Amino acid sequence: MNLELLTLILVASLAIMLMAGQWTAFALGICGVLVLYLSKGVLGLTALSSVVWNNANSYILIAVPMFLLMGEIILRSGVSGYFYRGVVVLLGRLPGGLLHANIASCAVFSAVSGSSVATAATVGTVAIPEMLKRGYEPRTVFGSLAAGGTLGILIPPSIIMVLYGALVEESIARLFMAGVLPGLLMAGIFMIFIAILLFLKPHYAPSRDAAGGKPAAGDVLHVFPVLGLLVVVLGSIYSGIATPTEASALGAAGAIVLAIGYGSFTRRIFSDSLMATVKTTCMVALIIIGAQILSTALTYSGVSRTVSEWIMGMGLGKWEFFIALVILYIVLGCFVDGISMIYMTLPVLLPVVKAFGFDLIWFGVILTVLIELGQITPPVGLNLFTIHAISGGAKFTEVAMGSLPYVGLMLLVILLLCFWPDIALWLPTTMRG
Amino acid sequence: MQPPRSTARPDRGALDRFVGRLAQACGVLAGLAIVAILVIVCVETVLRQFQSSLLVTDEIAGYLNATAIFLGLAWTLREGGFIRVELLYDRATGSLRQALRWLIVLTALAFTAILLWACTRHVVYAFNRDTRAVSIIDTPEWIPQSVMVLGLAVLLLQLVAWIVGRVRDIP
Repeated sequence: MNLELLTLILVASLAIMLMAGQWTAFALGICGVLVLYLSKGVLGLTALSSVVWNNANSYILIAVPMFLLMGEIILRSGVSGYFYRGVVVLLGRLPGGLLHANIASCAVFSAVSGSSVATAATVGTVAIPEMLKRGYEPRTVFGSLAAGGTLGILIPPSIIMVLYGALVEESIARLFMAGVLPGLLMAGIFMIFIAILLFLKPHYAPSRDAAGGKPAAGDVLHVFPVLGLLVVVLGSIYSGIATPTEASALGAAGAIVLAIGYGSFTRRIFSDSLMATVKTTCMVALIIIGAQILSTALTYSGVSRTVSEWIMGMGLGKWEFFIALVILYIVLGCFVDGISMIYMTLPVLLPVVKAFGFDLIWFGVILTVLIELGQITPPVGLNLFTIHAISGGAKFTEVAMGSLPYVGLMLLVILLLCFWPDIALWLPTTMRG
Repeated sequence: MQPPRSTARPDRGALDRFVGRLAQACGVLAGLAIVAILVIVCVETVLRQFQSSLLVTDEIAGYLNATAIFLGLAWTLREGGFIRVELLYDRATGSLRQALRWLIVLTALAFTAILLWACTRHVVYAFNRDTRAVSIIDTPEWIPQSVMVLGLAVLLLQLVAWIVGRVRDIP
């Protein structure tokens, strides 16, 4: 079968499967199996078992369930709620203080939980009713939560970066460190944006006097346990005491210790956290397996090489290619989740990215920002759905409109990273070893 | 990664109830595998500070990770844990929705069946040739790899149970 026809079948079947609502992991795998069979026959299918086994039996990917477990325990034991209260005390006095508190607590909490959706949901559940009651403008509230929640995949530990690192065989520890400064930069830009917005439209937030109910100043102490856990996890990776996998297990153990410390660690909470971890781990793992089947099929059939050569043959310059790539990921991000996006595209695009001489650590950071962006772009944006679901009857368009400015801010961060790659690459160079 | 959905489900017949219990039992084992990973990796990390090691942590933790993944598959599917592009599916009603469900379940069934076939062949081969892992404990590879077959078989059973129930209500 010729390659053009095969490529056409692949694209068509993938589009049909995804549009029909097939579970993404299955859709990727089904199309992979189809291409494998069409190009190599039954013999090709015997290669499946190694792909399936090798992507599940992996020491590096153990970090995924461990970081998930850490986040679930912090979330379910209520430690995160205490943390948010602490941040409110710290930042509540600024004009529009609760908006800043959203961004700051999303930044830290999402780092600990590693999941954008869990972060947006946790902070949102506490913040939305409270802020709407006090008279904050709804779209601004929703936007700050949806966008703030995405910070977690950039600020380490980040599951997306574990998966990217495993795929392109770059050091996950270095990727983590490369995400720190861009993550803080982005959080800073979000807060500057909010400050400017409130300067132009002061009525979007209640005046300080109306801010109501003074939280107890002692609550500020609740900031430290979660922050401390983050410091232990990242510090052990940075100093080289622990590998990211080991740090993930220490983090999960630390989360249990915190929950016990708050007196809210019960068998019920532990088993719920565990089963939620199983669920997300299986979801992520099957997406990886499905996408790797697809990528094996693309390699075996030669489609992969044809597409790479075709892109190289277009005679694009380095940055023209980069802009095309950014546009591709923005469009894909409107429909597909981040993990599928990486694993679907990189096997084909990675050789080209390497050929153009992009640094793979830097590229991982860019890719992560693009995935964040995909989570707040309609029609399919996980964070938009989450905030919409807990907004208590707001329109979906309100949530999407509130998040729109943040899309522009994320593109700004990408631009800054292009001009000053050291924002990402400096911190990893200071690591030991 | 989806908001939790309500868990009140209609009764879908004896086969589905049986598969439900089976999937749940495997799911619990998957959870225990994650606890075991947590313990073994923490112990290894602490030991390493004293220049000591269990020597098999990488290998065993990898097997446990595979165990958690494969044994959790069917349960995750039942619980609606897998994500999808909801654009059309959530808006479709009536017979279009039903047609989409048949398409989804039948293609998923074919995929799972092919994987199960390939993995079973793989494990049988490993058993007959007695292939061993390259490690100090020389694990016969078929032992950890059997979880692949077990997990995929339960996943297949779940899909069959839905087909027997005419795919009236899938997550």
